[in-house]
Amino acid sequence: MKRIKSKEPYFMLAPSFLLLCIFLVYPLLSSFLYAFQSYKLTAPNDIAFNGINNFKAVFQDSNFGLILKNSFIWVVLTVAGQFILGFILALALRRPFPGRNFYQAIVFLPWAISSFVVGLTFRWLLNAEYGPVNDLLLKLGIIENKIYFLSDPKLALYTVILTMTWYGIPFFAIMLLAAMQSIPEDLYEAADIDGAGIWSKFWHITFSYIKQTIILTLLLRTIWVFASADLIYIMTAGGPANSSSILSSYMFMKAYSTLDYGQASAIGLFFMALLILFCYLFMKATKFEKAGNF
Amino acid sequence: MLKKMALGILAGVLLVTSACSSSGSNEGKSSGSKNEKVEISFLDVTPSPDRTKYFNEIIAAFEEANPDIKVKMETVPWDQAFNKLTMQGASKTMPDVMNMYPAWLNTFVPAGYLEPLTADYDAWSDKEKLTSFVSNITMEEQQRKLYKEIYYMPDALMSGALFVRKDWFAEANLPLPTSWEEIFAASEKLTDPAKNRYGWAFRGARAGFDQVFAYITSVTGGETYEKDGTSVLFRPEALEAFVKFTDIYKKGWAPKDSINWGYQEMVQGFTSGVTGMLNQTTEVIGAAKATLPDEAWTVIPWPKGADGKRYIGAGANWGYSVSKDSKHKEASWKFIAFLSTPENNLKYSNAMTMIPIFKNEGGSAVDGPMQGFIDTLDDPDSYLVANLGNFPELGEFREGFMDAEVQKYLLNNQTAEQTLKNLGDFLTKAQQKYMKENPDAGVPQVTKPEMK
Repeated sequence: MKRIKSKEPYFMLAPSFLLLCIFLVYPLLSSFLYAFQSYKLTAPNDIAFNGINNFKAVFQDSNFGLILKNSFIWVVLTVAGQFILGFILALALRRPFPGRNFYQAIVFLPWAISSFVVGLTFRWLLNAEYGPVNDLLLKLGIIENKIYFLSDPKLALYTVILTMTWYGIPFFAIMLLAAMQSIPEDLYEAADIDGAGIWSKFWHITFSYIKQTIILTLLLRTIWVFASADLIYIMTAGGPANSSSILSSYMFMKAYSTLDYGQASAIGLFFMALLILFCYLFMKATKFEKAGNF
Repeated sequence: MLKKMALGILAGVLLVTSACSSSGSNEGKSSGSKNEKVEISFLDVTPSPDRTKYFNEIIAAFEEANPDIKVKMETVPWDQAFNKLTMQGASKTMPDVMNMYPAWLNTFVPAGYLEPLTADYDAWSDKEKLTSFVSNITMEEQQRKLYKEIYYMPDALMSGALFVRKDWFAEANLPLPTSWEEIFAASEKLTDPAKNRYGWAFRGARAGFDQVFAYITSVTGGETYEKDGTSVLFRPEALEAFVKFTDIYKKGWAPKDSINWGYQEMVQGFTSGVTGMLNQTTEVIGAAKATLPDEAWTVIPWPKGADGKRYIGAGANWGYSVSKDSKHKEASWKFIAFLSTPENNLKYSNAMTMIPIFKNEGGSAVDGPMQGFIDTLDDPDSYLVANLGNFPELGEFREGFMDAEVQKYLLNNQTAEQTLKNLGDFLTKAQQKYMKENPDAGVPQVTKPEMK
């Protein structure tokens, strides 16, 4: 009886572990195996181990440099844009004002919409032939010629970044707002008595109080943004000619357009290694374990 | 305690089973047993409102005639169809009956995803009524000779056609084009970005290279390979043709957006009045009729090349195939045979503006514009372009590789020479490997269509 009791937690955890094994561990292991196989769905009879050929093919791919560069631009600009604008939004919503709840509900709305809807909506808005954005800009005389947001290789990536930024602002706003609302009000009162200006109040109280939240949300968001391929896939499918592809969308394209699971898995492994490295460096740099110990 | 534990285990078991239960419906019952209703799934790979309406009607009629069979229709957009079917084939979840694009056979037959229909076809009562094009070319040349078996029943025939905005040509005082040279000239003259008008509906994505290649074959005499399996893309005139055709895009005679255009966008580009000329198959007639006034557009015969001959792509659009893993092969064939009766085929061909697969015995059955296509194909100057090959890598080439290469050139990231070299190398390697494995295969040939 006692022995069974000591094992109880394992019984309790078993179901979730089993599900994790089925939906996480198994795919992870099989993609690890695929990465070292010639595994094309278009040639199902020729599946065999081929050593590191997939990695060779990926690293020698003429697009690979471009895609790494794009991934970097994508992560830095998107996360920075989301964070700064989200922070501003959170600060604006901190103090009560008439209609705040209604306004808050409206600006947090993007977060609740599926990325497919967001992608399709923006694709239509920014379409060069029948999109309202171009139409309005032309009619207002702001631009002379149509802007090809999604088919110009110089603009496509930034167009998706813009969309992704808009989509992610509420995440930071919600998180930071929640953190700010836990700051005791009397700290600000005390600061007022001490004659602190608006800037030093922000820096010494608001910022240092929510530092921990900032670090955590930045880490999470970076991982998510880096790994999210859906908006790119919907809006440009990585095109034109991979000018808006990042690692994760390229991996997706490899798996589902060229049906080359071997190369897609090789990209996936490389991708995972990059993320692990990033998380390690980020935690070291921000003293993650000690964060928030004033 | 024990009770608690038992509850915990029970909850866990329930959770897992509910998460992993598959919808196990009609597992492995033998088809055709009298009181058992079998359900077969049917996938249409190129859905449109007209097609869906037609298939719903025909399925209702079929279910009435066969009360023990139920047909469940699914659709997948054309631009994603190949990938979806490939994945379904790999995971053994292909639909029972599906629309098969003839070029996909190169991938699906060696992979063993399709059920041969040879015995059913050979015993089929309507076989004698087929036009010679279907019985000789579609069934024998393009299937039995290549794969030793029959794998699909063609739905109808189509041929390449040129859709033009008659009114634009009249405005510009231009005659309707009869040759490629006139097409290029008209592309330039009809373009007027201020009015948002462009001469040509360029297709840069999702099988866009087919459009470029259609022009290249007009200068290679319809041939796609040299005798030894080397791609014609290495010929100097192919390079010239490639540059000339892609200049339509580079010189701005097509919308800048069109580098991303697939089938749907290019058709919409024409029907919404953005582009003046469209190279598409006859099935687009319906879409054009629905959106453009009749006096604004027309369909003209495929242009002739420099040698005065017309090299045209024609053949079965799609065929009905049965998957290897189908549990109801008998019911599936019944459905295909029902779709392929002469009267249903005629109904289908007229609804879709395609050419029926049966001889026209009653006369007057074929709709007006379609007779024009049949006559064009029967013209002494018309030849069928040789195909791109029958090697398994064709799917990979068509579904990603070829368009990415052309896009690189369109965006000036790669020279034309390099582009054709990359494309030619892929094709040559695959074709020569195929010829080594199939010594009596030879290279794809230019043939003469016999529509009567």
